[in-house]
Amino acid sequence: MATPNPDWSKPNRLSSYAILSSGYLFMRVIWGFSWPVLIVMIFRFDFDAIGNILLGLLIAIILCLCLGLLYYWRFRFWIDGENLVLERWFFKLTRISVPLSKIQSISLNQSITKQVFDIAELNVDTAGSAIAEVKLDAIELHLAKALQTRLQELVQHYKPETSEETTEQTTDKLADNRVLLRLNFANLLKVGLTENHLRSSGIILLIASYISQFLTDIGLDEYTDTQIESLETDSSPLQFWLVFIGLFIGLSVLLSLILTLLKYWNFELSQTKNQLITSHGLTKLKEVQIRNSKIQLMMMTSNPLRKLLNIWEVKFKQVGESNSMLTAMNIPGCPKNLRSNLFQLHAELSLPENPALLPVHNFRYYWRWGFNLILCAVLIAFGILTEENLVLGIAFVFSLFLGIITWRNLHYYRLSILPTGLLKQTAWVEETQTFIRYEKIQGIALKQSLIGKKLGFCQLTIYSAAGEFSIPWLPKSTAVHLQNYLLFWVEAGNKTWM
Amino acid sequence: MENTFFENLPIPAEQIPAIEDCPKTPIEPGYLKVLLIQNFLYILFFIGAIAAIYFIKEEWLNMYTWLSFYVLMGLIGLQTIFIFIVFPTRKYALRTHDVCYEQGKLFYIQTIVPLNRLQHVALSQGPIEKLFGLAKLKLFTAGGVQADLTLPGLTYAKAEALKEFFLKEMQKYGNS
Repeated sequence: MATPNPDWSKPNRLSSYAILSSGYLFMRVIWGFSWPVLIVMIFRFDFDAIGNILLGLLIAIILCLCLGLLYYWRFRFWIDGENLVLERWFFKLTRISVPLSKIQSISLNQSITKQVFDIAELNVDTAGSAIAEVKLDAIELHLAKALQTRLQELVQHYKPETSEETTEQTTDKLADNRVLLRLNFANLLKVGLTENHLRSSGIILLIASYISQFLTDIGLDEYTDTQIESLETDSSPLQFWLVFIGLFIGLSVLLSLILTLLKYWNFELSQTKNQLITSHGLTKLKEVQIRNSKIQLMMMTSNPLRKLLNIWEVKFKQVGESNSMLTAMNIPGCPKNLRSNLFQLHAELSLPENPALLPVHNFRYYWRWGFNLILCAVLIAFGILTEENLVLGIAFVFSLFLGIITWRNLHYYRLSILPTGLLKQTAWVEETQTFIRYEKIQGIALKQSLIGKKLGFCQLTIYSAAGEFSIPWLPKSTAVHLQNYLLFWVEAGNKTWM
Repeated sequence: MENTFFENLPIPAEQIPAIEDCPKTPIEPGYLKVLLIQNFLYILFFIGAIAAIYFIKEEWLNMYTWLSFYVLMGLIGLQTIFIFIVFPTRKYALRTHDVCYEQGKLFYIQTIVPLNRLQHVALSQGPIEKLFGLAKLKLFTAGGVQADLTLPGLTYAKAEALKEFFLKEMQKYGNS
């Protein structure tokens, strides 16, 4: 829909659909206060009181819609010189002024319900705990896009290296965006199949426990138990368990695939001169924009299967990432060369092929191998004592798996002290590389346990605005040297962290 | 490669200032009394709770209640011992570009916050600290709760002076 440029210096309103969405928000607040009472009411449900319950519900809905109307009426936002101002009512009138210079990112989200009404959610993330995050919950899509563009233009003025550029030049840059990655169905299939399936396994287990509880509640548990027992007796225990495990793994993989398709459908990564933009999602469209200078931490993750398919997952973390996932920029299915290019873009140097090996304390090797060997010995002994081949088999497979991941963990644990930042590589099943630029460091802590004190090792924890970065098992002298070196970079450098 | 004026001269490792060489100041001895009084108040609270149960509903004073009470008393006793052990290790240091605080005997931790990363400063004084003329200074960074640094056991005047100093530093770096 073509609309004239809105005047952002005057107070603007949200879309009228905000009455519904904020009404829903108030419903959730009421639910938050009254859920214990409501749950008791559900358990002691009385059909005679259904009229009163429905009346109460109707009154609650009307009340929430009235509050939603009030919220919509009092919600205004505008750009006042150097600030984005937001005036809202949520049981009390609040006015928030966000300095444009403090804006870290502006992201646009559109859930499936918002797509129906052609509205979107605009999130403006800021730096520093003193300034609140701004969320425009239901704003018309074309207005959201226009405001996003306008804010980006204004925010560009506060970036030191581009401060002399004119708005027109900035607009040109925004228009000049280059697509770096587009994921088609086959790419998403690769990503979904090579996901870490532990999360979906957890979901499957949760669903299974709900179904089991439901079957018990309706009295069908005995019937299902008999069916399972007959299956067990019809086949050998090994066959039964193999089918069971196969089915469980198959369902987990399928669920991971579905979740990946829903999340990353139509994924596109593009780049302008100063920022990266991703957009994706089937049921919920998500658009995230990050200015290169605002990235606090970069993480690159892969696993043996993904490495075989030449794909990595790259994640850029921004301020407040530990509290909110709103501004996370995830780039799944990233080929190796693009990963190196993205690293170069952020770190301003090439990604080392084989990072330097971290000089860790020998106790780490003894601890990892010693602990795991004891664990494996206990499991195998348990298998022998039970005289069950299946248990013994599982113990052997688990021990082998533990041995491989322990070797991977010790072999791939590396740290590179690069000219612009620190690169740490860790590996269990997944291999993760984390990079932090020196100027992004907020604080450093050196921690040492009693045993560490005795044996002379400690842990260095580096804090950034997007989370912490720990380097454990360092010999004390190395840790102290590194601590002084990092402090020197942070304190002597003239680059800002924001 | 394009020729630039950029220089990247090597810095000898021995020229990088070392935090371990910096003399550290112990916190005010009066703070030990504050910590002990706080612990004593915990003990009083639990004794009060037991007394209240005795007078209101004596039958609640069964084996489990007493067991919980003794465990709690034991933990507070243990904490009191740790207060004495850890107290001498609580030290801070202020340098031109950063501030450092360290503590711990069993679990040692040294946190350093560069002054150019400070976001805001808060001075607080509880009733017991007020009694001893002490105050606490909390330094906030964008690194979250873990990265924030608290300097306890400062005299009120020193805490005020340090607060002023940190505020000036923040202004210098444009963080306020």
